[in-house]
Amino acid sequence: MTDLDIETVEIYRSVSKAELDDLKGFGQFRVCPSGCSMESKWFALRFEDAIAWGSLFYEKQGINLFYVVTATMPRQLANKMFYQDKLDNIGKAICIDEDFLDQVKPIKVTQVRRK
Amino acid sequence: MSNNMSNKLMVKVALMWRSAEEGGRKRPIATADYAATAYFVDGDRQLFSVVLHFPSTLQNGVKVPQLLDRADMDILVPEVIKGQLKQGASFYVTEGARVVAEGKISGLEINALRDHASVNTRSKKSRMQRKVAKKVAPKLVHYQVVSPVVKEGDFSSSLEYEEFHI
Repeated sequence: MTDLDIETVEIYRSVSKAELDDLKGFGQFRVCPSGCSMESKWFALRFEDAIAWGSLFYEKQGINLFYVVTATMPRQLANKMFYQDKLDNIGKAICIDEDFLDQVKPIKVTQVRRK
Repeated sequence: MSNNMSNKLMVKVALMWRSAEEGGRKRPIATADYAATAYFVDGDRQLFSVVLHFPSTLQNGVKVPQLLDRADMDILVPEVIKGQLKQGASFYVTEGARVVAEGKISGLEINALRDHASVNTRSKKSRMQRKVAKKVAPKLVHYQVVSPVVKEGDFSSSLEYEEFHI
C-alpha cells in the first residue's frame, strides 16, 4: 500500500502565533518540549468548531488574532484516538497523543482576526 | 450592574499531580497558564476545557509557575458544568484519556468584567485590570455565564479570515 492509498480525514486546530511558528519551524505538530503544554493535542473535526474554540480561548486572553491549522491524518488512526462528542458544547474533538502527532500533516492555515 | 459589565467566574482549586508511573505527565509543567480538560468525579464525566493559572513570578518577562498545588481555574464554557460547581467538589484534570491530576474546589469567586463591546475600545492593560472581586458564599453558586451557548455560526459575523499554505 502506498501513501496515496491511505484514506485520510481532515482535522482542525486553533493555535496561537507561537504554536504556529513552532509548527513551521519544526515541520509538524509537537508538544512543548519544556513542559509548557499538554502532552497531547486536541483537534476539531469541523473547521467552524475550531473557530469556536479559538474565539473563546483567545478572546478570554484578550488576543484578537489566532490561526486555524487544517491538517490531515489517516482515518484509521483518527478512529482510534480518544474523542469527545460535544466538548464544551461546541462539537466533536479528538485528542492526539504526542506519539501520533507525526501522523498529522498540516496543509493549510487560516488567520482569524476579530473585527 | 451596568449593561456593559459581565461576570467572570474564577474557581480556586487545590491540585495533586500524578507521577508518570501513575499515568500522569512525563514532563513537569513549566507554564503559568496551563490549558487542559477536566471532569467532575461525581458528575456525568463530561469533559470541559479549563485553563489553570498557577501562582507565578516574572523572570525575564516570562511568567514562571511557583507552585503547582493550587491554581485559579478558568472554565472555557461554564454553562457545560452549571450546577456541578460547588465548594469541595472533586475533579480530575485530564490530557485526553489520561488523568494527570486530582483536584478539589477550594473557593469560588465572581469577577465583574467589562463586556466585549466596551473591552474592544479599551487598552489590553486596563482590560486585564478592570475587575472587581466579589466574594460568594461558598455553597451558593449563583453566577452569570460569561460565554454564550456556542452555536454554529455564532462567530462568523465578527471574524475576518485569511488563508495561506504551510
